[in-house]
Amino acid sequence: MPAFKFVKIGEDIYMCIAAPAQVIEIQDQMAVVDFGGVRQQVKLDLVEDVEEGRYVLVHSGYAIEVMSDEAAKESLEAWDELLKVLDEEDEYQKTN
Amino acid sequence: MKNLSKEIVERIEEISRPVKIMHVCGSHEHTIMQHGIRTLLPEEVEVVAGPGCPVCCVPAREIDECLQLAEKGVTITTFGDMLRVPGSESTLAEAKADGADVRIVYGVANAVEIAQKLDNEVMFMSAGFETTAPTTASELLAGPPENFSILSCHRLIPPALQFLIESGDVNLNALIEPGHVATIIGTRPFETFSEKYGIPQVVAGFNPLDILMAVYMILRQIKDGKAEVQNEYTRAVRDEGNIKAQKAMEEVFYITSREWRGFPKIPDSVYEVRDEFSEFDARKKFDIEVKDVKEAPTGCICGAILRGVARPEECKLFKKECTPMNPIGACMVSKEGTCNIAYRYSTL
Repeated sequence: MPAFKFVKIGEDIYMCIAAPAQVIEIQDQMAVVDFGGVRQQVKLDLVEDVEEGRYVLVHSGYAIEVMSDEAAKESLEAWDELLKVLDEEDEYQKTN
Repeated sequence: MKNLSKEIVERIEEISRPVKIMHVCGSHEHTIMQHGIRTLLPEEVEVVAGPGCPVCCVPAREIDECLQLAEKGVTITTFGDMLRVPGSESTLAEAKADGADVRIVYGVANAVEIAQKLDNEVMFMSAGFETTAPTTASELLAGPPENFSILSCHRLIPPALQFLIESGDVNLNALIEPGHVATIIGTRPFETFSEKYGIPQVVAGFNPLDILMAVYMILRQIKDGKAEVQNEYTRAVRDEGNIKAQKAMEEVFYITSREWRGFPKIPDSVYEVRDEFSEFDARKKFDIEVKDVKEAPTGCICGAILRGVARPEECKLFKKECTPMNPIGACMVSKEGTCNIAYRYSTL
């Protein structure tokens, strides 16, 4: 489950907001993507190596980056993991 | 599952010190206000909003250019927020009410579709930072119809930061960098601010935990006497950015100097269309001549708000004459504007 959901798709366009969506179907340089229920067509001209089933970051009708499945799901473990990495850095600095 | 936001806030409190952190993204400001992040932070940790709203940063001159084209009968397409941004004397919304053909689109692709269906000239007013500029570039590379053109209002974040740091107006100590600008340009263009000015920076995402984590990572850098660019938003941002998007932008645009709302001319801070694509450049295609620009409505302090030296509450017009229903300045118009966001979350 995503930690928070506040990106609105539709009439409220936040210009620098981009939201992750799963690629359902690719045809040429277009894809149908799924934002957890809402489907939209997006262009693929700005990304490489995208496949059906992968997640992309969508901005203004374009996929602007391909994401890993874990990254797109925004799981809380990601931040927990980051804190651990920071702590390990601290430990490393202390012992060196 | 442990309470991560609480844990990060506790870590922030442990190493807290007086610091002024600037972010430059309307979506960051939105997250901060929506989740009351300023109230979670120690008082000495100040987070201020800079020029992070691409709609607000479009100066009156560029609105005037659009109004002139609208008067000539050109179909104007742009993002919805752009319609009520004040030009010298009028707005695109007023021009529309007076009969001009002004249409709201969700993006440049939408504008190209309109051009394909119409015989009339269709101009897309293309505002946006590095996140949005590749989409415009991509459409020009794909070969839009002859009756299509763009008026480039694309602006670049690093030159604005450079200007703010050098002006010394804000006295900022650290920067939260915008995650979706960095998705395109990567983390490297920001490195110079750490190397040259000793400013710690963290590229951050748009979840409240991203912002808290960025603040923590900045304080940690200061505590350790470091100044570097750290990437908190690895979910989307690679150090090198999106090379394909960068190439598209480079092919279509060159970088030049122009004023921003609230700023004088910022060196090398805007994208303009290259000569190879001049048939799609509205500034070349049509005779546009804008004189006598009136920059800001009387009493409006949008400029100071965009430079991060004032908060909306300091403006005499805020929540009185100036509201989202009746916006006077650009920062109240756009949903990403600092005043608009402050209004929405202060009246809840």
